[in-house]
Amino acid sequence: MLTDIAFWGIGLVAVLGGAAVFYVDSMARATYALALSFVAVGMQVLFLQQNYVGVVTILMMVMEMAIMAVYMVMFMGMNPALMPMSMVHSNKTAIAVALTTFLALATGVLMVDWPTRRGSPPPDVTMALGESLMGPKMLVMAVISPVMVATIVAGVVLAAHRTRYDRFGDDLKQRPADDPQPGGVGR
Amino acid sequence: MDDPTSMTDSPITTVAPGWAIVALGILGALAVTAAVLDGALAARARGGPGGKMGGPVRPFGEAARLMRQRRRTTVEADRLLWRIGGAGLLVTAALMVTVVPLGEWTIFDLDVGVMWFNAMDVMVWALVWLTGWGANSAHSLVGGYRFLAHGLGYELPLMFALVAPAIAAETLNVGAVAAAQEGLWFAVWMPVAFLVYLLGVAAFSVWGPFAPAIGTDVSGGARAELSGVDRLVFEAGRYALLAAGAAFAVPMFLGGGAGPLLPGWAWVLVKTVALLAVLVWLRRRLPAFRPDKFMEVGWMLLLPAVLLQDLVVAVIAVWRS
Amino acid sequence: MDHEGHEGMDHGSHEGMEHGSHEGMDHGGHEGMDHGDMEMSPGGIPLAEGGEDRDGLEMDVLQVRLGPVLRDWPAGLVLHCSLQGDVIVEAQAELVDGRARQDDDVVGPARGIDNIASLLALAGWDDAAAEARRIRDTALESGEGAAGSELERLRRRVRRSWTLRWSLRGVRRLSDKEAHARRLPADAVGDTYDRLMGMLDRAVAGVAATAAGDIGTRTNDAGRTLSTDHLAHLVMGLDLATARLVLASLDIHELLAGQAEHEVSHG
Repeated sequence: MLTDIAFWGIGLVAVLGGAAVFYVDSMARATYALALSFVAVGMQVLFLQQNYVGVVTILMMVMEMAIMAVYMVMFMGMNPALMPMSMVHSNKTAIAVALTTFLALATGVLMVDWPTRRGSPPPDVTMALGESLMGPKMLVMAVISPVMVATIVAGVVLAAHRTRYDRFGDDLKQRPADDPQPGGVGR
Repeated sequence: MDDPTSMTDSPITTVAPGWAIVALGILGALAVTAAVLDGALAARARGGPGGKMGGPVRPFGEAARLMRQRRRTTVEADRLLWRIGGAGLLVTAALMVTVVPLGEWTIFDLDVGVMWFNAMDVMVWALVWLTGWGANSAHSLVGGYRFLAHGLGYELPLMFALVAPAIAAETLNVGAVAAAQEGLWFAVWMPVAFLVYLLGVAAFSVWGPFAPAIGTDVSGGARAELSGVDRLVFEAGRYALLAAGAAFAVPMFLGGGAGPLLPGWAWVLVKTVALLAVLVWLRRRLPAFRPDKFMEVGWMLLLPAVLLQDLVVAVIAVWRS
Repeated sequence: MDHEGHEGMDHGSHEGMEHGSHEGMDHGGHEGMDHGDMEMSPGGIPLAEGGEDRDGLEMDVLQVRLGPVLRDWPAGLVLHCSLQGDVIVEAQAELVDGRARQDDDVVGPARGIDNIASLLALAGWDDAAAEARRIRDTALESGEGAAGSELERLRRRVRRSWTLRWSLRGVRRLSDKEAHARRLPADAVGDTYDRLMGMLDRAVAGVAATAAGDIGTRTNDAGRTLSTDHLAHLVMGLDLATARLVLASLDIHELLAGQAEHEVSHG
């Protein structure tokens, strides 16, 4: 009983936190409202006995939001990122789309014939979840992650306007490198 | 890890939630110990108990002064986020120690306790930044960003340092990790992970060499505008984080409650205080690691070193089984 | 922390917003953004201006004033900085209450030791800074000769710290030519670590000379009087914290109001 109340309470926090993202008037508040919402979701996952997934959700989302706050302020395009500002635009379209999606999904939930449970949950639900998600595709996942990292690194390298010729001179022999902000290991 | 949902594989007894009060008391006592020690060391460096509030009693004098001080306000401060940031450190430290077993008892015998600790230390990123942000002041904001810059440098090495004991013990349960060190402490045969972990503790406590976020060179940084009780809570949070980090190292690297003569809980406390003393003393010896320089050290030296350590540990773990 | 009361004193940056010096900056390009119901100057703080940063991206420019009262900062110096992030892109130095030196002012090694304490404190080494302050007090109270052995010990301690060397090495390296052009003393050549070592060497030599009764070296710090004209150039392109390290490393004993006080120096 108490568990049920806590579960629904946390669910409410998650939804309200998500709504607050659009209601508040500052970048920082919007970002951390989202973080709160994610933390609540992570705690709900804990209630589903998926301890590892739940804790990792909290860990990753807090870290990501801390970084995202930096990027949101940095890339707002216009300087009042540090000032009070509205978090919404194109409200009417957005509301219409959101309502339609919600109604469609809710109808789906109610219409679909949910299967009844067969058998009992395995002792280690995290393991079972992992196997059913990834089982035969583990190789694909293992290949995709280095490819993703390589893509990110390559993207940054291509986007950076300074090259190694700027750093080390035309014959790549200039030491120490000419950096606007020298690093700590003396490359 | 066969059965993570039941607590049977852990050698630890879970105590009633009411004991959390006692855990908080111990954490508080450890934090005060750290503060007293820091005060004493600072007085020694200054040569004599300079001023009215010198030496080991300085923390108490400071606390009394801050409790009476009026709060400073700034224009357009984001009070909500500011207060959350300042008070959050203390809460985070308290949540960290819930998974640390005191001898054979623990409050929260989570099967993924190591991850839990890790998630809590990431919270500090958000909290320090919020403290810097909330005040709406330039130095304060610079301090907040400096902490994130440090975070990018220390967090991944810290994560992979925590991975090493988990691999060796083949579990993420803190009590089971402690129990897996019978005979040989992890600190002995994974020294790199241990050292990087200690650096990480100093870092998420904004302590010593990792204090540029609140450094003199940015006029106090993230805490520049904190005053009165807010400042007291922020500082208490830093000491509590330091204490929680030291306490967590005991089951992870120093064999938990193992030791001759004394009971388990006493050994945990002795080891925690010893480690805490080392961390407090570290601040006396080292200048600040400036974030712009440390970033590269974190990625180019610490991360490869700790990954190699993980590899060695993994190979040994496979070979042993 | 025994100096809480002084930290964060300098927040008067909002009054001093002089936008006059930003001619030619691009104020266009903001139209067409969705401002929503944003207030243009909340709490009386005007919006920051944008400008190109060192990577060629547009970034806010914030006016921040450093000084005249700040911990471990040359007394009376006011640095009007334009910050992008925490990088100083433009700076202008002036002196508050620039006065001629009085006869009873403290001269000699104690002043230098004080500057060493400031630099060590800014580098985040509280312990060594406290030791330097104690030595300074010894030098002032019981004569400079008494501080000799302690100062020697501090010098050894600082020299042995490889983390301090790592931290200050390569920070604002000045060549012979640059130092000369900016009319800095000849010992400002090198990076901040070299300058710190120079400060320690000079303090040790100064104390030893005083102990030997040589008054001549006591007053040889005339070369340490700097004009505010030359300071702003030194800190441009550095971040706030590094800039303070660099200024502290110059071992300023006396500041002179520069001739070009109201000329803005562009980076």
